[in-house]
Amino acid sequence: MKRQLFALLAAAVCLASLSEVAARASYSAPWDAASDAAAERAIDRLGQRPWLEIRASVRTIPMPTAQIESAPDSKSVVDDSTASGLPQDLKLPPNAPKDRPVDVRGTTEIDEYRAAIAPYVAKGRQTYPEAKRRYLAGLPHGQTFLVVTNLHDKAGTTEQVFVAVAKVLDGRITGRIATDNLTVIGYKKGDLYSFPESDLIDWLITHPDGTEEGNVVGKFLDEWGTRRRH
Amino acid sequence: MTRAVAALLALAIPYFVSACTREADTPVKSSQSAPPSTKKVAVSPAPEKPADALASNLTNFSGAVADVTEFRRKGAVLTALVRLRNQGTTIAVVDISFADAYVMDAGTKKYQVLKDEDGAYIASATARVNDGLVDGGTKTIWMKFPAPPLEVRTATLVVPGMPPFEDLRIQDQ
Repeated sequence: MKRQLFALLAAAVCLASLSEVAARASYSAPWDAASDAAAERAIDRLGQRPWLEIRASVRTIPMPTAQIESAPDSKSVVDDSTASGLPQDLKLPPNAPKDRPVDVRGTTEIDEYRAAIAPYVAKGRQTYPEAKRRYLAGLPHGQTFLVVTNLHDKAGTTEQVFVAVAKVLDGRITGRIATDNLTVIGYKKGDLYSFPESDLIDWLITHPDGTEEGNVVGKFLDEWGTRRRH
Repeated sequence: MTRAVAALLALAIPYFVSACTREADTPVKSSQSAPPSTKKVAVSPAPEKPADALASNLTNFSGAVADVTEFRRKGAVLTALVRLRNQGTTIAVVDISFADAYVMDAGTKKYQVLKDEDGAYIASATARVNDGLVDGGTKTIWMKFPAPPLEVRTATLVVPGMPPFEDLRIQDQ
């Protein structure tokens, strides 16, 4: 029995020391010849483009019927407590359109996407002052003012989202993110977010009956995304 | 005697298991990014940067601070050296997977840690660093990336378990 235990112990110690060898770094130092040579070979294997294009994820955001009961009906000047008063959980009615994300990746697709939406972004920005004026004057009960902007993270993902507006002041729009299932890191639906009006992409005003005004970029992307899928 | 052997065995087996799992390539997702919104920036104070460091960051490893001491481009290869210092009073357990480390060039291109023909990372460990740092202890890790083009003078280094080191100046030889 003792002999078996010794054998087992010896085997265990032996295996442990072997695995410790395997666990050690393959390369002893950053500037030694072996690591430099391995790195050069790795670069050769990667070819002319040893990088990954950072992906941009774009959402079409067809969710115009968010019901935000406590959205402000008027007020040109509202403090942060108004934004905080917006519900975290922005419930959509059952007939709300499904979110249909459009993924674009690589410089070519991103350039194509930017070029495609540019005229619609211009149109959204052109009509935004009138929509803002109506919001500041006070929208009828049940109507909600949402704007569209891009969120970015350090991993390079860009995502186009809705923000339910709570305040427009001194060239900045403040509200809560109203898009579900974000892929951009560090944000979630319901987060308070503030950004300059110059970063606005589009706007929309939702009505209680499910209709909407604006959202020209979203409507275009809906169609564009469908075309790309076919 | 049998009891003593059994006790030794009991000590040896966990060591074996630990050694086997040490290099397992299971990516650990960590917070690599701080969102740009001013509403969401981290509030931790930046650690003091030693004179020999290009940049320093607090880490998620209790008590440990990370200094980038080299970020050097040599030919087509960029080498990053990161020194981990335990400034706490207890052991800091550092767990860094090279699978999740990368360099980002002006937000358009991402360069991952190079791998050799055997799939091992060309770095201070073949897949990950998983060590305990005693108080006051230091450990330097390193990793090699494809170098951004020469006209790129700064880049962001992302190492799991700590905020990104943004806009690091690339040292050219």
